Amino acid sequence: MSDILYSLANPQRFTRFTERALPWLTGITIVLTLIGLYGAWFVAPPDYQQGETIRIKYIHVPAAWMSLFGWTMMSLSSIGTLVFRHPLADVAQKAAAPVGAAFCVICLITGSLWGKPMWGTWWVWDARLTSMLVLLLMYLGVIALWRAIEDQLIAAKAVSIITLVCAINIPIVKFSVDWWNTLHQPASVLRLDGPTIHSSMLWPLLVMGLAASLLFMTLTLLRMRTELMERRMRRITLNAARG
Amino acid sequence: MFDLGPHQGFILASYGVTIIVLAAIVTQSIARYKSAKRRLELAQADDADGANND
Repeated sequence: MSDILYSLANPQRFTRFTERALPWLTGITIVLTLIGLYGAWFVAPPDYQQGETIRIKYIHVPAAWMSLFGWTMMSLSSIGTLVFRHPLADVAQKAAAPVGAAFCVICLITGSLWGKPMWGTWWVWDARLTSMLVLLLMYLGVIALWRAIEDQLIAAKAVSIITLVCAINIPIVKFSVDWWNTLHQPASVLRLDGPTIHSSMLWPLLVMGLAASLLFMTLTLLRMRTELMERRMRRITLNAARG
Repeated sequence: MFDLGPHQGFILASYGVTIIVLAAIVTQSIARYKSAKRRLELAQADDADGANND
């Protein structure tokens, strides 16, 4: 694994890799999304308590997983930047932040649209919802920081430190439903004793989760490639200006 | 086609918002990639011209 990571450290090799991988990733993402949506709408039954609103789960839960996955990936990349000085680590961090933020927005809005008919309210300041909102603010904060600092090396170090400090919120989001009394239901899939939902509901959810993961990877790789091109362009412009 | 019950609006709005947000991030990512590619090609061409003139 570390061999693969280091072989891709060369930006040109990474660009060649993404050129081959992106069309495949895009195709598999589309196919999995269609299979997941078929399962969510035509196979999974309505919930005995929540009725048809359970259909919201198939987009809300994968979006929540990706919000947490995005920050976890950025935290690992921060270690790559600060400790191993991997040349693509900060590029990955910068590329993943807007994608993670987008999934976080989806999670919060669909959660609110699910909460209103089931809880009778759009929003409550309980631990799960509040920690998720904090996660969105964290994403917006690092995106702003990347834009605020012109020197990308200094920005990468600042963002890495902040990302690692803020990573404390990830277990808080995950375990908030266990640690505090919240309106939000406890985990029903990612549990030590296994999922508690019926297989007819579980497989569409897992397929949608896999599709969301691949979409996350596809967009992050595309944005990494874009970032590498922009950095190369800046180098050429700077060299030309220096004569 | 579907009878989504009394909360149909909430369900459809959820999927609608998801489609809009994902379409926005996908479109922005592709547009930024195409713009960066075009600008890099121009910068490389200018750079090569500059080197030839030297």
